[in-house]
Amino acid sequence: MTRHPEIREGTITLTIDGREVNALPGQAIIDAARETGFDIPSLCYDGRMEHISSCRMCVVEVAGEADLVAACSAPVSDGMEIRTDTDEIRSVRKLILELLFSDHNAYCIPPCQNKCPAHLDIPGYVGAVAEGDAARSTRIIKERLPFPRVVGRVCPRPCEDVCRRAQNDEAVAICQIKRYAGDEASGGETLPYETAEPTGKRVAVVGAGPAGLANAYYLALMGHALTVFEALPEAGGELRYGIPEYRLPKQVLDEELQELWSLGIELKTNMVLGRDLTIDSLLEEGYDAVFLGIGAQAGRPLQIEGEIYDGVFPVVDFLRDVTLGQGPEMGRKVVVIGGGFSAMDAARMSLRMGAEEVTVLYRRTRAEMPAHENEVRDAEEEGVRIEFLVAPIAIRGEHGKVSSVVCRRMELGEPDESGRRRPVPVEGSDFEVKADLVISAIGQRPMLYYRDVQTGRDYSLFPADSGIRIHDYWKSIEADPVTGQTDRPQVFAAGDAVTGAATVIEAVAGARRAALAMDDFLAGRDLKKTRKNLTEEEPVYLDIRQLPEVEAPRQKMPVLNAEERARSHEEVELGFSDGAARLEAARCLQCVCEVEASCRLRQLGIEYEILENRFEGKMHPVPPLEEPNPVISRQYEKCIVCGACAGICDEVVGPQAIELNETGMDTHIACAYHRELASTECIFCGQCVSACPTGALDNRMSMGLRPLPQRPARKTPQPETIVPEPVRKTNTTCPYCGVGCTLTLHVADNRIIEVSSEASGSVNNGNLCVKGRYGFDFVSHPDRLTTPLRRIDGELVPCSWDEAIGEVSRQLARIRGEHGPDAVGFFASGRCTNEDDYLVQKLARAVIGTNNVDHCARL
Amino acid sequence: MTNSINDLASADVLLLIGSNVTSAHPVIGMELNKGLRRGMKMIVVDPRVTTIARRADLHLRINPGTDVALLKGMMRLIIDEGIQNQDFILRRTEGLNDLVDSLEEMTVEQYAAICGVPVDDLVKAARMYAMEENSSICYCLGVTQHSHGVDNVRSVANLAMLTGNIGRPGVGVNPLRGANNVQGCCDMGGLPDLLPGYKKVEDAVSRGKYEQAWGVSLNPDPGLTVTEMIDACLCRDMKAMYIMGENPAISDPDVNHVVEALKKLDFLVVQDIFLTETAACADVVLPGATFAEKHGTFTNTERRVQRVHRALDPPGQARSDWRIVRDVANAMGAGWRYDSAKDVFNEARVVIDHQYGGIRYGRIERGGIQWPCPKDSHPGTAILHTDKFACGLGKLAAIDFIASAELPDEEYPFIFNTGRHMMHFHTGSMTRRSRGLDEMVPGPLADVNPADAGRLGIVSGDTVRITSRRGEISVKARVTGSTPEGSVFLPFHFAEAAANVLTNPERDPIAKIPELKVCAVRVEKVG
Repeated sequence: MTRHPEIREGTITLTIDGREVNALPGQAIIDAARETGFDIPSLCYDGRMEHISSCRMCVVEVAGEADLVAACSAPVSDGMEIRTDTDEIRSVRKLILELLFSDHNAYCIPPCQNKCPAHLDIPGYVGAVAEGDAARSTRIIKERLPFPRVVGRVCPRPCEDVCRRAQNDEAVAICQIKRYAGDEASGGETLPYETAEPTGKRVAVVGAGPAGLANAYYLALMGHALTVFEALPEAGGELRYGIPEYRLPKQVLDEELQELWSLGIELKTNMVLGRDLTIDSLLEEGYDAVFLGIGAQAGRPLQIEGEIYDGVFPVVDFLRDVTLGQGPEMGRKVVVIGGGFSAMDAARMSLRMGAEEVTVLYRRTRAEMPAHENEVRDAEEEGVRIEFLVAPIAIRGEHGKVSSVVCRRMELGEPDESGRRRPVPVEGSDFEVKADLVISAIGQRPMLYYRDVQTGRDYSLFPADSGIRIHDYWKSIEADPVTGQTDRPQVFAAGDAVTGAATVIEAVAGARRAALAMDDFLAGRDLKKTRKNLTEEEPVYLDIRQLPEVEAPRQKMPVLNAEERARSHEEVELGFSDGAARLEAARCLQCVCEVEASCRLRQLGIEYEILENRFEGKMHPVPPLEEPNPVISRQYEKCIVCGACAGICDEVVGPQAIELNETGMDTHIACAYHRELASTECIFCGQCVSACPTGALDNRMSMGLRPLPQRPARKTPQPETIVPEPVRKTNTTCPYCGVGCTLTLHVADNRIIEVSSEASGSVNNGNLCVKGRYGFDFVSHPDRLTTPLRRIDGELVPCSWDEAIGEVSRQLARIRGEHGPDAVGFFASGRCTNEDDYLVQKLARAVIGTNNVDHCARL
Repeated sequence: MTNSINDLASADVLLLIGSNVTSAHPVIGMELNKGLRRGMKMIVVDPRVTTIARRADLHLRINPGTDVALLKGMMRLIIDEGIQNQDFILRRTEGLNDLVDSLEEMTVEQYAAICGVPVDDLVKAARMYAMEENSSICYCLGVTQHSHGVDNVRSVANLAMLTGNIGRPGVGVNPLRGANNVQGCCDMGGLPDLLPGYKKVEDAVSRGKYEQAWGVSLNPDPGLTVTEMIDACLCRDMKAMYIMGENPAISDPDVNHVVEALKKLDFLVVQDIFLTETAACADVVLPGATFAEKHGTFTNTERRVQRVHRALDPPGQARSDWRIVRDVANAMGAGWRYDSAKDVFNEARVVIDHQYGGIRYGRIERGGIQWPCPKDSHPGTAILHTDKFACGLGKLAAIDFIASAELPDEEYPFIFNTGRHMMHFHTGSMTRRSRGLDEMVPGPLADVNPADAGRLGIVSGDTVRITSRRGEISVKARVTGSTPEGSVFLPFHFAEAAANVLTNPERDPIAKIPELKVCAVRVEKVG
């Protein structure tokens, strides 16, 4: 702990937050408080320096003082009464933080990753593609999504809506990069984790759709034995039976699922819950847990007159039956009702099945359509006509068969609870559209009854005695939204069956969380803790502007031309070439802050709930920076101009390589004349990095090496089996000069990735030099000797330890015998440990019998 | 060090001799910076203009190898002006008369002339050092690596005792150890004349204690030093060597002769982490572990014994060095039973009881302890010699100034000086394999003074050939006023232009330290 310069002997007594504590006279309030267990926040406080009081976060109330005082510069006095955490103090600190954040042009968490329901490490996998490593990219994706090839084709891409690249030109084609990575890596080694040892536990998964298969995948990786039961003839669920071939070729799906079967997951098809198996029967058969991933396979009724006519189909049935080769006879004129993905799929599929005229009726405008704009555009290009602001009010029929749809025009009124403007009917606007096939695509919900077509019998999937609760209105399974656990502790559920119809990526996210929870359940761990671990912290970031330096237009996905494809089932999107994928991936701004886990600004931002940018305006200048040095990274857009780096460089190190420049709003940190560090007196000790409370200064050698759990997507603590080892920190003593600084080695994956000095009270007081901080990767250098060597025929060749030790002992014994002990000499080492050296001299003296032992003390 | 690292900045005056501290010991450089900000005065003695020299109140650019003359000049002035600490001299020392007699051989002006520094500066330095309340001396290899290294060190001690600057905070004689565990290796008996704990091998009583502890009888004859062993290889007296963690093929003077010597051995075993230049000559190479891969202790320059903790696994079959040595001993029938580094330490701690007796792993998990620490209840010793010297009274010794063994002449007109670069360490086997460091300083540069460079037509970046009586190297030049006229400086870390091809193996007669800081060379521009 640093003392105030005017420190005097003896102790005094003061009161902090109502508790009496002792302090040394002259000590700064913050030191007295921290030593007695009170946490006063600060960004610029650093025990190695005199306190600079620049961030003002440490303000406290002192009785008798009119204004708040900065605890890092004000000394304690006898009888002082201090309050560290009042409402007033908190509001002042919050204001200070808001001002700091408004000038902190950076992201803690990439917005794409934050927006992705499964929180894929998007900058990670996009970056891997930019480096030309599709296999690594795929492994990163598969940590949270087993189906990059599928989802890369069908995702509505919420991530791209928030891509910061769009602030300048266009969003990065994140989804298509994912598809590219998966396609490229297909058939290779792409498992994200090593499969754990078998646990001996058996799990039954009901439903081979995205949720069920994802759940099975992660549980299998964790060493459990999985059986998946599917009602239809093949696995895939909505992926196979709901998404048309031209968007997702069955071959791609089959290839992607191959990895699951190779993990030993067993598939049993044509097994219907309620008819062929029940939850009870599964548990009786010895399954230790059951996962329900039955999806939302029942179409929502239109609830208008005429729905019973022949030729009116729910979209799920239509698409499924087409895939099974049992589709309805195709009409000439098809009307599709709805504006979502399924509506577009039904419309485009109808064209491919031979329809002459396809009309989509949607009751809002193009802007409100849930289908992705690409899908809508593609459909229109292929000849689908979309009637916006139109709702069906009745279906007319002749001879029991549909003949037309009566429509009414709408206009947009007040927003409803979803925030979308509510369509309001325009009186007297009714008109009729001819139709011989009507497909309703206005929503789906879980199918709770199964009708056996052959016998006509209905089976209930969840009879009252199943112990599974069903939501009265939504007809969905009631399950914990985090763990997926139902009222029956051994039964878990996720995906559309719980959420109602949603996206594949949402289903996978829920199913993966359920897999982690089920693993804990199977191991007998308390799910309360699991639930807490799996609850992902709402990330805090401000939408601030960091624009790309280089203009680069988005790569266009090549597609079949509209005429060619409209009557064909061939896949429409053709995929990126290697070159296009790498160019596109290189457009990613990599909005990742590697110090997210240790950033003090972020920690305080979360604590003080800074959720918006209240002070948009001028930001401190960020001069263009060429920084070719290999150890210190400077990203001044993240700087909060606290001055700690300049302070430690001047006060502790001495060279004044970086300093505060200019004044007022223009104040910023830079080298004098905005030079690069190498042209200053900088000694590259990295002390400035260690003082920085944000990621403005970072250890370049550690960047990219920090393991993924430190990145936000992996912050959730997870079972050891599928998570790489976290960073371990070990305090030890520096291997270089004789000062003996205490080093804290950060080790991940048996490799030193960073060095700091975190031990208090050490010889070096937390300071390090360039060698101590950055001279560590010799330890993992490929030149390391990994086996004993023996010289045979003039060459050094690898040999076993037994051979090597045997040869050494024989030769030393022989030479001692022939020439006496003093014909043998030993060098101990000033770089080895005391223990090593003690034994070498003992070997010389007590075993060989010579005092010929010395080392480099004189060199 | 008699005192501690965090004590240095509390001096009123710091006399820094032969230490490029901001490069070789940067964290101590930071400590000194703290002192300077506090108002500490600093005198730097160094022929070169180093970073720390630029921050000094007084920089004495002495001629290389003239430290004894400088220190005698300062002491002469102190005696002449009567500003010595008479009380300390009477209570704690002996031999004042001999010292004074030897000082009176020359005048202050004559001493200053030998050193090549202005008399005024020498006078100022002497007064500054003697008259402030607390003055500390810090030195490094610039003082010791001379054929009269012991004379230098004894002169430093004379100055400190004459002024009473021993045995309390902010004073002392503080050598900075070059490598992490040179102190510990000496403590452990890694010396040819001293058993662990600095017991003389010739002394039967000391030997008896170890004979009892180890259950063997010990050889009473002191062994050979590093450079003597190399010579013994050449004349075939030495037949086998076991080298652990050292790279004499780069670090020792006159390395051409070192490699020749190693090749003459019947059997060479090298235990290291890389296939160093030395290991490449071996018959058997044993893969050891780095600091990060083993447990143990290091003892730093202020005698602080600190823990080394294993943070990761060694690669492949590499093993902790103590374990390899144990296995060799056991293969020779020693029957050693150490299962851990702790077992070894516990034996060493008992036999070195005066210094290490009270130091246990459990006590040094954080912070370490400075020896002497003879008992479990002992807190360790931050400052040595507070009441008396280990030998009783401190000896003020009469020292003669002796010139360096090899001085410039017509054929070899330059003084060649070696040292360290901030970014690298010793023979570079670690730092040159550390990406960041090697990228910043990828190779050697020889510093040449602008006046010499002008005469020889050398500009920065030119390749020069440097030749001594022992060999020649080619290296790129950097023209800089930091090295004095008539002298060339080269860091010794780089195998491709190994400074120690050139250096003089002439040794100090007592310490056997080679004269790495001064030899004569010729410099020519190549091409």
